[in-house]
Amino acid sequence: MQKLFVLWAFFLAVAACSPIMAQMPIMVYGAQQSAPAQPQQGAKQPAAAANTAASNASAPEGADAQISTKQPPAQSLGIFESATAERMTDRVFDVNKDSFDLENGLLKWKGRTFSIGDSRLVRARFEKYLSTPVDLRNFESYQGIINEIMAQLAASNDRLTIEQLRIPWSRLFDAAEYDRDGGSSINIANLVYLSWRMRDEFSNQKELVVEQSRVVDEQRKLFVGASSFLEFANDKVKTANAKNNAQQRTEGTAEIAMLSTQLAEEVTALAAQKANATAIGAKAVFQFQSHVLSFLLERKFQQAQIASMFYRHIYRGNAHELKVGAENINSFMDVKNYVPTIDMLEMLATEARKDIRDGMSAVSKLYDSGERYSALQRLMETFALGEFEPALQVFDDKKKEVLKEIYKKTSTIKELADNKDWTGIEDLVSDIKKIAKDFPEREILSKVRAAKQASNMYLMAAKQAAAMGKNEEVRDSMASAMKIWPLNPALETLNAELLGMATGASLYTRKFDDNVSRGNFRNIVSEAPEYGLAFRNDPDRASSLRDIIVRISKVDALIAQAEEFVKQGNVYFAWDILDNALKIEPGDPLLALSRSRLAPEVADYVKTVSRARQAESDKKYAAALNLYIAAQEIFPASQICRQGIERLAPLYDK
Amino acid sequence: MKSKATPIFISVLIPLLSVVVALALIYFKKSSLGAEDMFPYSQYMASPESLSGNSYRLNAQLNRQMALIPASGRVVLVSDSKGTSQLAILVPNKLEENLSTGQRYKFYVDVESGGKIIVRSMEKF
Repeated sequence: MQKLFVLWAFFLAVAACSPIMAQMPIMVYGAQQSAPAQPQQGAKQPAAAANTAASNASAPEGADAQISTKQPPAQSLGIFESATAERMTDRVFDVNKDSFDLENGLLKWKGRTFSIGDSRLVRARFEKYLSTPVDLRNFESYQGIINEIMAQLAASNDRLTIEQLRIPWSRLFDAAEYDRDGGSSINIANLVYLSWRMRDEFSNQKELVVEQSRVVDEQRKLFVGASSFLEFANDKVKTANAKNNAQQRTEGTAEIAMLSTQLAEEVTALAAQKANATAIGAKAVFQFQSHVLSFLLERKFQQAQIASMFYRHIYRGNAHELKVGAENINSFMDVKNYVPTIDMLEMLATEARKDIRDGMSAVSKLYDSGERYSALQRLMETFALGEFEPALQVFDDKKKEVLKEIYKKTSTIKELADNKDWTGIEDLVSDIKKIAKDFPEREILSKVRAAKQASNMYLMAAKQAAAMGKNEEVRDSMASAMKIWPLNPALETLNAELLGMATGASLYTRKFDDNVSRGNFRNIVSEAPEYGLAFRNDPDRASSLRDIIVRISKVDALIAQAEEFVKQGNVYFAWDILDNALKIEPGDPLLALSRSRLAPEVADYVKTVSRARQAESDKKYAAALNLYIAAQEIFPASQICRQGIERLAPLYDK
Repeated sequence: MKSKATPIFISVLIPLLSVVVALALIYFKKSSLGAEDMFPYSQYMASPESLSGNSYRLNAQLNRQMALIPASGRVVLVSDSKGTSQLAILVPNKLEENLSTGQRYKFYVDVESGGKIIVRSMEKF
């Protein structure tokens, strides 16, 4: 049970600070952008980091479906990875119900909501920690004093007298001389001094109570004596009355009344002095316990430990019961009638310090194995847990420098993601990867690529719309593309193209007409998309352009077919195909080139067909027919010859 | 006084002379036809026009009829004995010949302008 409390309290301290740290860059750039209203329960830093790009990429409405990222269900934060915490996570922090709202700085825990402070300040402290070199000699001197104090106050040295306690107490003033102490030792020294002073006051008050008790006793005796005498006198009077019929005695009644009043007053004064003594004791306890708890919540575990030790030596017995915050602490516990004590706070501080040492050990190990991104994460978690701990302070400056670079760059990624500078993120991720091989770049880059692709697709749509003259669609598509990737270089290109369209239209019209008149159809085809854009409002030329593209495409297909026949050794077939292509586009230079290459291999056939054609054109049909027949003997499957023969036979006598 | 042998001599002589004359006619006729040149295929292919005005004999096999020109005749495809060199020639209607595919003929042809090869006469062989 005590262990459970220790762990709970540990988490209370950690939870108060760690969520703030969790907002530091690596965590932040993932979660903050995407869903401000959503509690950031999930994801260790790498995933969160990856989510940054995703969430930013998903910002534009047009690309939502493609690049939005769903937050994972509640997962434990990295801070629960410390040895002790991890064991107790399920019991102390229910990841399915509890959450950290990083945006609003709130911790929701066990159905209650707590403020966890300004995350920027913690981030700034972490950056300062990474940037500040450590004066090890100075630090060792300070730590030597602290260790000395702790040794003197150790549990084994029980029953220390005030004189013995004065030695570690005076060393607190020495420790307070060091900057890194931050005045904590003075606070403890003052608390101890206050307790001693209170103890003196308490002693004085007790003496007064004793004196007052004595006065009350004397007063009581006087009262009893006077009352007894009066009773005795009255008894005498009664006896005399029986004989002389005398009156009852009244002498001494006033004195008794006065004595009675004085007794009541003295009793009241005694009660007041007793209450005053109790109040002095309670006040001292409250003050001391409050400071111990404050140290704990400020994550000054070393100071909390020292203060607890002093407390243990100054106060004994039932004064160890926790008077400050006990109700609040109990409200977190499912256990009834639980009595937390000051010793628990000391144990808690000890446990936390052990976890911090473990955390730093993990940081060093990860760093040395090259997993520097993970090392940075562990360092951040450990810093969140105990930034004032010696184990953090003595971390190697060179390693801190490297981790600081990673930290800065990951922070920059967040800024670039805010600005949707995807190319910048790619460059930066590449840089980080050189330093930290374990940096989880894959998810980030995939989201970056998705965003870039979405933007480019919008630009393609804009181009198509431009080709069809749909200006409204062009505008919308370009706006969407810009939202997703404002720095998309293709935007500039498209802008230039669109700008040049108006002036370019007349230019392309002149160029087109010129090329048509010269028969340079291939030139036209090579710039077909530009001509298409230019003729979006010129249906005649657009139709002519389409016709040219179709013709050249057919010729290209026939040339390709002929080349295939040549490869198979069917040169006459190839020639025949090229001859058909010639009918489609007689002036095509590419076709002419193909024919000239093939001509030597089919020279006899070509020559005969050529002569046949010449004869036909000279209207010497009989001669042409016989030449076609001769050519067909060379290439029996010739389509040209078959068609020539069929055409000329009926004209034989002409 | 007439000899009895004279009429017999005459009756024998006349048929003999007729036979001789007939044989002579046949012989001379054959001699006159055999005197025409064979059709120079290579020359024709090299320069059809250059043979215009000439007449030739063409021994060839009729492969197929290529076209029927009602006003002129039939254009047929013939080939030489090896079946390699083919020619298209016109058989005029006036010859009134029945043409059989695959039949070998002796064509007596005239080469006219434009490389036309017109059959003047023909006979099977």
